[in-house]
Amino acid sequence: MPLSSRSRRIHDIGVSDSPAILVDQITKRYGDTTAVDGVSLVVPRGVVFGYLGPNGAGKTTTIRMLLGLLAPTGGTAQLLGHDSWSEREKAHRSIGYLPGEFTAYTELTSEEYLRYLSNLRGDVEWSHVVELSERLDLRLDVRFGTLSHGNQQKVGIIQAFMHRPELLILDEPTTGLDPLIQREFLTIVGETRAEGRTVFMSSHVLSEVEDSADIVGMLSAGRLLLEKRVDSLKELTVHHMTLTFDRLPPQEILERAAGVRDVVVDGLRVRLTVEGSTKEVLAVAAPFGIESLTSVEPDLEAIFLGLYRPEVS
Amino acid sequence: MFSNVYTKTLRDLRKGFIGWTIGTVALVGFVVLSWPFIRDMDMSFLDQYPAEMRELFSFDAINTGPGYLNSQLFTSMLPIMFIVYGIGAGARLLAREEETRTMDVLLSTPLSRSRLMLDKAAAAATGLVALGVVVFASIWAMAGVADMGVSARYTAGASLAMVLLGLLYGAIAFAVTALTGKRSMAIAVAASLAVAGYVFYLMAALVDGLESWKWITPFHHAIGVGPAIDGSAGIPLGYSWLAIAAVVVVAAVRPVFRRRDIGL
Repeated sequence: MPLSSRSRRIHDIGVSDSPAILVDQITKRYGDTTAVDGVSLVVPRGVVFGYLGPNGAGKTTTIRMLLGLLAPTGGTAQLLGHDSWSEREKAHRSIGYLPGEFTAYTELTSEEYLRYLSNLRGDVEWSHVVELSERLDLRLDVRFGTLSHGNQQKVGIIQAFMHRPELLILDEPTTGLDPLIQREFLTIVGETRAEGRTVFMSSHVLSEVEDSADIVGMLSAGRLLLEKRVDSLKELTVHHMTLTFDRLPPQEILERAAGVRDVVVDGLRVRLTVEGSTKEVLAVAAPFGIESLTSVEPDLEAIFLGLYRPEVS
Repeated sequence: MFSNVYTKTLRDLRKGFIGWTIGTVALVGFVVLSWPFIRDMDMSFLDQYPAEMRELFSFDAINTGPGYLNSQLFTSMLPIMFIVYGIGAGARLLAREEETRTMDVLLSTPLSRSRLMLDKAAAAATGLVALGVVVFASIWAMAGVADMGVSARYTAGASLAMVLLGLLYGAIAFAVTALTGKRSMAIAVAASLAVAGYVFYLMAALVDGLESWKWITPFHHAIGVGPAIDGSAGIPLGYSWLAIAAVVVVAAVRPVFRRRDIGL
């Protein structure tokens, strides 16, 4: 699919005129190193956007540019219609942010810290803070420095959500959370979207965001490989399979099955690649006596790289 | 609780301030309570020092109350204490938020970088003024008891000189952290400039050729021409130069702090 039609499709998801996030060719260079290289993306309002990529891909650098903490070397970004650098204070009124390595003042209790931030923001209902802390199972009267890593992360999540911001930018939000709390957090994310608000969250694990995100963007080595709706992504998952038959493999039949490519026959063994569902290839192969079968679902980066390759060719 | 960065920062300074207060009051107490013994001593041995030295440290007036306080406090220990306090606070308040990354969340609120700087600088200045008040109050009270014959005006002027010295070198440290985010570099730069300023102050008094350049060092304005030397004088104009320099140093780096990357 050409890039232009892809970005048109992304536009179509929008529920409001000015997108929640509009990034145009944003770049960050440190000397000879390029941390983020011409990333452009559109996040419509009212969606959950998963910003994916391996560690070191440039996710945090992108996010810190969105927050106006880092100056872009090139390109621009807009948050809710405000320039992320020159109008950052305006944008920040309607934004909640969880940094990648969240930390607060060790000597303050969570309540003191959250009240301090509430006063800086000026638009927080304390009852909502209490509700969030109960849902995430966090006591507010304990000093931050004595909390476990997971509980510290909960404080970070609460401060990002407590003023019911229009847009949430969360950098690896589930770090350190146990599975139960992780699920509760994703429920809160779902409720936020249901209210028409927008969540932009980064992760290095696809499974973490595939259930909650509407759109994912994949970053690798500072470049955005693609931006896709999650439902279309699942259809395009790539499997590398090895089938061993007890007789001569039916090469032509396998090649004709939906989604199959790169069929290599080596004696009784066949290696092939399947894009999307493996249902049909298994159905046509079964009558020929499959002795053994291995199927590797590649890791996140390989999935995206696999998807990306046909588009450039 | 803390309605803004200024009040939060004052609370951060509170614990350290208690220690500084105890230390300052102890020093002042020790010096002032030694006064009755010094007053009646034969100080003629000080005549052996060169005239410039005697003038620098108020040796000629050491048998008077103000002269004694000048030599023992206002031209020696107290400048060091105020400069150390100023540099410490100036280097820490902004840089610690950046080094520990608590600044990221602060700056994700509608708080502007300028306002963050202003509140932090104001809190450091408040700490210095409060320490100045401690010095003034403790000297005023104890000198009264020891019957040293020092006026409120002299004590206030000399205490203000200490505050302004701390303020200027603290502002330099603060400005370095606003530029670089690095506390250690701020301490190194500000402390080096303080030592250089003091050495030049001594040199200018001792070397004839440097006499006309003495205005260049903050120490000249703080302890060279102020009431710390001449107990009868009011608050000298030179003080305002120190205050202006401190404000200019901080204002000059504000545009850079607004533009640079946070958390390098």
